[in-house]
Amino acid sequence: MSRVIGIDLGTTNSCVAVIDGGKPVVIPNAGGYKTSPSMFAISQDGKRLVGHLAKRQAITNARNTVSASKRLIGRRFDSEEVQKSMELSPFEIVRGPNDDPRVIIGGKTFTCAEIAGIILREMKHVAEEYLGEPVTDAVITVPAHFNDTQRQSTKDAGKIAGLNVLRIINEPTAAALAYGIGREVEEKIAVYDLGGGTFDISIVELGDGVVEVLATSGDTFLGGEDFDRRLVDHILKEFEAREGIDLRGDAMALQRLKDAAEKAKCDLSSVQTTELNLPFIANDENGPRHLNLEIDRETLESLAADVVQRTTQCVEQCLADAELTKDLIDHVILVGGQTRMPLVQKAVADYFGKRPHRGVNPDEVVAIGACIQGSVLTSHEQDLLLLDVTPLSLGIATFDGHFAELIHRNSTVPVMKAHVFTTTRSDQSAVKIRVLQGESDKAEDNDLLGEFVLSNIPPAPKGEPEIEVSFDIDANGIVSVSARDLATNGEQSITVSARGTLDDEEIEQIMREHEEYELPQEK
Amino acid sequence: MSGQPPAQLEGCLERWIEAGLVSLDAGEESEAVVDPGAIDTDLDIDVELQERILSFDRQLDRPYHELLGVAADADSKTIKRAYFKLSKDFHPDRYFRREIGDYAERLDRVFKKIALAYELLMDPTTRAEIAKSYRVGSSPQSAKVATAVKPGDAPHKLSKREMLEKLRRQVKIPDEILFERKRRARELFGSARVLRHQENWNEAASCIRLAIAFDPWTDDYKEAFGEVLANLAQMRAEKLIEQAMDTSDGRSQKEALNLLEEAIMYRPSDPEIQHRAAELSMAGDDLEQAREYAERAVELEPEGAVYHLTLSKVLRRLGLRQQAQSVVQTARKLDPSNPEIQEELRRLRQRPGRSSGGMI
Repeated sequence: MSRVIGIDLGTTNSCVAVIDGGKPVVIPNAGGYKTSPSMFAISQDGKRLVGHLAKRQAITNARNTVSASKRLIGRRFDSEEVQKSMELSPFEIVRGPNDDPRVIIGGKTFTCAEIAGIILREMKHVAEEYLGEPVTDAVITVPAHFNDTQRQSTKDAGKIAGLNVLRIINEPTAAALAYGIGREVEEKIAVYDLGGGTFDISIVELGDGVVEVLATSGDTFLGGEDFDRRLVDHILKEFEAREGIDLRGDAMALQRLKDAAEKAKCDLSSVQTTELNLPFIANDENGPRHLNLEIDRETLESLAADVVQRTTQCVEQCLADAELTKDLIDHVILVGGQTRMPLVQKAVADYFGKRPHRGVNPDEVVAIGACIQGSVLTSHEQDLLLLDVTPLSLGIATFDGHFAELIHRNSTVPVMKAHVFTTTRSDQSAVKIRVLQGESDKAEDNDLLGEFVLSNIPPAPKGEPEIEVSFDIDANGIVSVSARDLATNGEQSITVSARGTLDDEEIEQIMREHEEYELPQEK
Repeated sequence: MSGQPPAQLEGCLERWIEAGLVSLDAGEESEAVVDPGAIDTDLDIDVELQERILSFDRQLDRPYHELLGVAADADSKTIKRAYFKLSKDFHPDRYFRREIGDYAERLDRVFKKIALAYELLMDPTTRAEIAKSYRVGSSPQSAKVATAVKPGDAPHKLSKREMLEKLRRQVKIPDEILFERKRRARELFGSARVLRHQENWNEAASCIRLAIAFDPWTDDYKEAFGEVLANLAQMRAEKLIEQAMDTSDGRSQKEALNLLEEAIMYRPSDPEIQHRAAELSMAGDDLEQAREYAERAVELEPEGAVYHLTLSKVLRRLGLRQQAQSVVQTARKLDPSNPEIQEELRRLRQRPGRSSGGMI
């Protein structure tokens, strides 16, 4: 049987791992790097470039290079996040036929699942080259707060990449698995995951080879990119004050600045001051201008203080959900590149009153956890069990626009819950069941996962018929909903498949197109 | 309570169950018989485990702590350990891609029930409810002690309700019945909620009354009941108003007004009740009273055009035409297209004493 790879499909970087010789191994790419930029580009001469190759030419070809597309996947075009990304991205984002955001590069329109698929395919290649054998099975991670649509889109991406996705698991859960393997003690751990694009916090309990997720919370609008953005803004203001030139309209200058700011941010994790040098960044009647700026750690920290503050609010929420206090946490694990920042480490240490655990590599631990889960599922060599939870509450819309919750967030899957509802009009012969996911009391504020109608209800005064609605989530996270008239036993049900993503035909079409590009890899 | 430690009470309870004094269900509780035909040696799951799954699957209605194999008073650490151990046997992920035939369905059922038991026992609230059902009245001694209390010993005579509550506590309710009752109550309350939205107060009240009968322990139900009763009073008043308007029957008019007063007491800040009372008083020619109600309605809802209209009518009939005019102007601003308001405005503009009809 072929081996299962674990892929951490990150906002800025992706990572792939596999169990090799009984141990999890992070697989380096052809360039020797253990992570690859989650970037896709079409070069001037029409070549498709992924990973480091795409990043290398990003500055000179900014309009045709897609980065951070994870921020767009599975979202609606009108969502705040997509609109925000449009402001900052040098590439074009347009409204797709399913109200989904799509990107145009090299004159061609791509769906976000397609771009994620291209990156996943690259990770698949990296693994195949290392293992010397074909790979099809994979476990892919997503932020804990991804909703069903985002998860489904990620699954679609896997399919486009030619992968058989065994499971989508949460990033912090994966990190906990990687940490928990081989540990016999009973303990409660907090996984603090501050990545490029999102922040996740999970409280996990370990014991007897079982990893139980107690609660998970997070903010999909919070991550390392917010730090970059603050820094870029700061530099733009400084430059404008000095030279009187606003660089905001210059896509190329902006891309150079973004790269330099990100690098400066990383440098400042180990040094106190760093210098930004961007020659010939602008031009005016007085000749070329160069950007030369010294930034110290203190400046960066004051720019980012409130972002770090926001993470602790999420932590509070998560602890409350887990019905724990912070002193009951035995260990804190840091995940995500942004947790290298001393300010973040200090904030976490101060909050929990203990130093974070240092045994894991924050860039690699998620992919390692993913491949462990793959191996746990298929090989049964590991005596480990992950009790994962559903991250968002599920329920239906009531006739007055409220959200009636059936499955509370953080419920262990598989799970089944039922509740009896009734009609609102006399002799009402049918009810519409609208399946929703989210945390708002108002139905319209939650995500609609699907809807169906239960008909043939015998005539009766309003309020009399008893309609039992049951929600079922199986171990694969597939949600099915059924409604049954208790009087007649008439039943209707649906398996909820997320909307806004691609249908099977579209996926097939994309896969056929990609086969044309499946030429031998350049050496 | 007789003051025995819970574990001892538990022991008593278990002896009761063994002796058949307390019926849990159909007397099938001890050894569940495994159907040998269900065992399939071709499956990728060993026979011993198959037997365990079958046995578990047949006894899913056992009390939750028995499902987890712990004592009723086990601490949360013990419960968690038991749950983790059972999860490792019964979680469907342990059989991922294995050939397990019908056992996939059984495992799914068993794990969900175990997870539910764990969830209920780990939640302090539900745990307390379960514990209560075991603790109270589970020992013969405690029942005797309770009944042996002489009336003189009690500081005061128990009310009927208190006695009922006490009696209820003497009776051990097996927790599956308790949960069934609670579930039933929740369902009824859910239906009541829908009925309340439909303003079907009568049926909502009877649903909640039933819910309280099934589950007298949840205070929310009682609170909701009070609210529904208020609405019921208002609804009865509305009916009486209709009757009064139709028949101009003085007595039902007065009764309706009394009921509206009652509804106002429950909901002093609802302008609609005030408005109805104003209309009713006006119909009964009690104009001063009508003015008071109408002014209160306008005060509570300054945007209500109809309330202004009614106030204007009252003022006009009181002979306060100028005040009435300014009030109806406000009404027109709030709802320019309302023909009734325009009519009222026309009336006020005409000289008093002139007939409003008859123009060709």
